[in-house]
Amino acid sequence: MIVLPAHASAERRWLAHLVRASAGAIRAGDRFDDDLPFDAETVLRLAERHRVVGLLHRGLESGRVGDPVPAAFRERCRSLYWATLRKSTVAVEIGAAVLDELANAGVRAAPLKGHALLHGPGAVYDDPGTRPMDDVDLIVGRDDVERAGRVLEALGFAPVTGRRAARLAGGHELAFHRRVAGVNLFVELHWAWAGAESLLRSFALPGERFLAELCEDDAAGRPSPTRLGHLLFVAVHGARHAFGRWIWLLDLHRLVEAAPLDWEALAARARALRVRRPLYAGLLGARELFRSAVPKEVLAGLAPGPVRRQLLHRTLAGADGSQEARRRERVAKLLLGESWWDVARTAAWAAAPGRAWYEERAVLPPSDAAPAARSRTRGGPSRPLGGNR
Amino acid sequence: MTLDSTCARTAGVVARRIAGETLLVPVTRRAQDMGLFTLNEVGTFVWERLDGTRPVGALVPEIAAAFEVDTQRAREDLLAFVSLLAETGCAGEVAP
Repeated sequence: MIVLPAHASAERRWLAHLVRASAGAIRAGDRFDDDLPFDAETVLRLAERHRVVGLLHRGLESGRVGDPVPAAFRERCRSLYWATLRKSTVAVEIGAAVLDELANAGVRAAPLKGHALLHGPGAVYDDPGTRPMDDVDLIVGRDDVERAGRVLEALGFAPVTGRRAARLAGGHELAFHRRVAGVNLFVELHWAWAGAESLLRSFALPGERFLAELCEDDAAGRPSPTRLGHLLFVAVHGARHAFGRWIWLLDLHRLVEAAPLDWEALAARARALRVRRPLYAGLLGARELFRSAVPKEVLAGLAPGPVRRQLLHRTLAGADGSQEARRRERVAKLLLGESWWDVARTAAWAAAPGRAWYEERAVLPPSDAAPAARSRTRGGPSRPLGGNR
Repeated sequence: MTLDSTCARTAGVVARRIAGETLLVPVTRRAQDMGLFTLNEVGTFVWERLDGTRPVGALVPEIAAAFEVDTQRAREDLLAFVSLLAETGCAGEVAP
């Protein structure tokens, strides 16, 4: 159990129950102790952290959630839903305009995550209020990054500067910002789906290959991810954050349930790209939380060996993106390597050159820094300009 | 705004159909203070036809027939609705 481990709090159990009900994923035989006492404010904070408040609002409005919830809880869900609806709609529209301009400039760019799941041929959400977007993620070839950046600047976007930019500049993505219709909108240009500078370096895939192998072109020759491409990208992205937000599990659930899936092809592609473990972890979480119809034999084929599987479950259990969980999440990311050899190589890299890479960019304190200073920055860079999740 | 005016949807406003309702979401700077609007069935019917090709009044018989209301009522409601759209920047008068 990685979503609801034995030690999960009452609030986490309640949230899982409410989210499951909102998604229509309660199955006959599901048992839930609805006399379990909980603190509604904590459940709401957890829901915000997992980005599932919009889904809860829809569940409450549609009557799918039959449990009584405090009026203030319901009102807060409603208010956040409308704010999300507006922001995601703006992001989708502006993102589409950006993609138009990139195509006009001859840049091959495909939308990822939120934008692609809300809009276009791969859309699996019908309501932008249930899929929050902090930014518009696009993938391009490395050679197109500079040109794509110029297109964004011509559209009024400014490169994000500061600490975060320094971290991203040598990695695999660049961020741009523009305030549109009262919304702070970020566009992130990715030129790989995981960075060679990260703990996921063993399965870094260049943008060119993603566009060639995991996208298909529409009639106008514009690429967008196939469903397999979406599934693999969302799994890799979730792995990058140790599946600390349930919204990524909802993405995977929607992708799995959208239409019959060629599981053999998915597993074969995951093996070829050395991302079976992230896919395993993501599908396991989606199956646990949303009862996604993932065949057991598929999961078995994607899973690592029994020892690593146990370690992985333990480190992913209860991941929630909190500062306290970050250290455990880093171990989980290491364990998501395709083989023990990958795990060992990445661990060796992280201990020396990787640490130096992050120190140069002020993400980690120097190794000889005082412990107090180290503890202040252990959780990673501050994100003054918004998140990239 | 009169029934002789020709009116069109503003480019910076997006209509989304969610859970059986139509929402108007402004996505441009100009519309940033407009908030969100929910349209009922009649409002949606009118919104979809505000394409700037004919006077607003041309919709009166269509509304009366589609929603089984008398033409006077259709005329009044239509004028009030398109005036509100114009005031909020969701739609605007255009040259015919």
